[in-house]
Amino acid sequence: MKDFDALKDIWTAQAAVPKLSPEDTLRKVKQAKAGYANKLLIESFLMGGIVLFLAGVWVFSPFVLWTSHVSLALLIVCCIYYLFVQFNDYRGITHDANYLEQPEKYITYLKQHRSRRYLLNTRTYAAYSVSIGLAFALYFIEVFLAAPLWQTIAGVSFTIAWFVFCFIWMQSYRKREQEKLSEMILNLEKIQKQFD
Amino acid sequence: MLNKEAFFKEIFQANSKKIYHLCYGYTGDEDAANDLMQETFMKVWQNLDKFRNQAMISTWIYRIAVNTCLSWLRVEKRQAKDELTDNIIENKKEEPSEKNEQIALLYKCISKLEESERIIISMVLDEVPYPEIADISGISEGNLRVKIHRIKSKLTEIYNRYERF
Repeated sequence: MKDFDALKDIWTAQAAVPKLSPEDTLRKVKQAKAGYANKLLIESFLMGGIVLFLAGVWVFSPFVLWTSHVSLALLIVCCIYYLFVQFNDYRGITHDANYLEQPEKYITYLKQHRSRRYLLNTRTYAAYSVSIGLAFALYFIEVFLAAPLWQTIAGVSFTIAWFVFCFIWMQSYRKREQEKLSEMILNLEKIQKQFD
Repeated sequence: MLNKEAFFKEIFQANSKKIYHLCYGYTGDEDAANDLMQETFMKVWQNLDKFRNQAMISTWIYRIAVNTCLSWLRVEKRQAKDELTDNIIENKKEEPSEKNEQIALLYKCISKLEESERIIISMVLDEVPYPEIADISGISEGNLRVKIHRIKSKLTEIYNRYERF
């Protein structure tokens, strides 16, 4: 039979030491920072290029119908919104100081954060997809009137196929994400009660 | 920058062992403990400017470690529960000695406690003062004393039960 002091002696005698040094940690910090920054930079350049391309098409193409103008405006807004979400995400990762809070507050923050992510992946993503779909549909009205029929059919078919692919992929992604989030929130609620 | 790095190294050396114990007590896994400790100190580095002039820097570091551990649970919980015991036993297989067996058993018993209890008892075992534990966990000191008393009895009972077999 051992009492708590005996357990404390066992604990004190343990040789368990971390394998990491401060240098390892600093290296990892720099790598992570560079990784995020690079990812964001590449995405910003890509999206910036797409926005410039769309703006060029808008300015230099003699569109006749108002639907084409709405279509390009919608596409540009979607690209800018995507960039905004990415920047926000990056800021959240690098400037988040919520982990300095006491556990109960931190858990509340995590639950809210998870709910926001869920909304972003479901409702917001759906609105984003519908906007892009609508933009393409509006654009194809002019294509239909100006270009040969086969070009319209090919363009519409490709766009529909792409949307179907994204929809199926997103369905499974959303299902996985939802299951994970539900489990996390359930766990967090359980732990939160332990700190009462 | 050099000053910042020197300051970081200083607080890393002063706190890393205890933070590692907390992470190890929480996860029961050496690799996960190293990962969580690294994550904790990465956050410490990002917030180092806020820490300057803080009287109790260890409280802040512990709080980050506790929150990092709680976040880890939400992803790894299922695996941790299933494999915890095996991991500990495997990790300790290299040097079978009575002392190592006792340490492995102690970690195994800690893994049987609730999440918050694991965190609190790791700090108690590392002799973190009660007011600091109260500040880190956000539990009032009176309530904490009652909790600690209960956790100590629970852990001792579990340990003695396992040791008999």
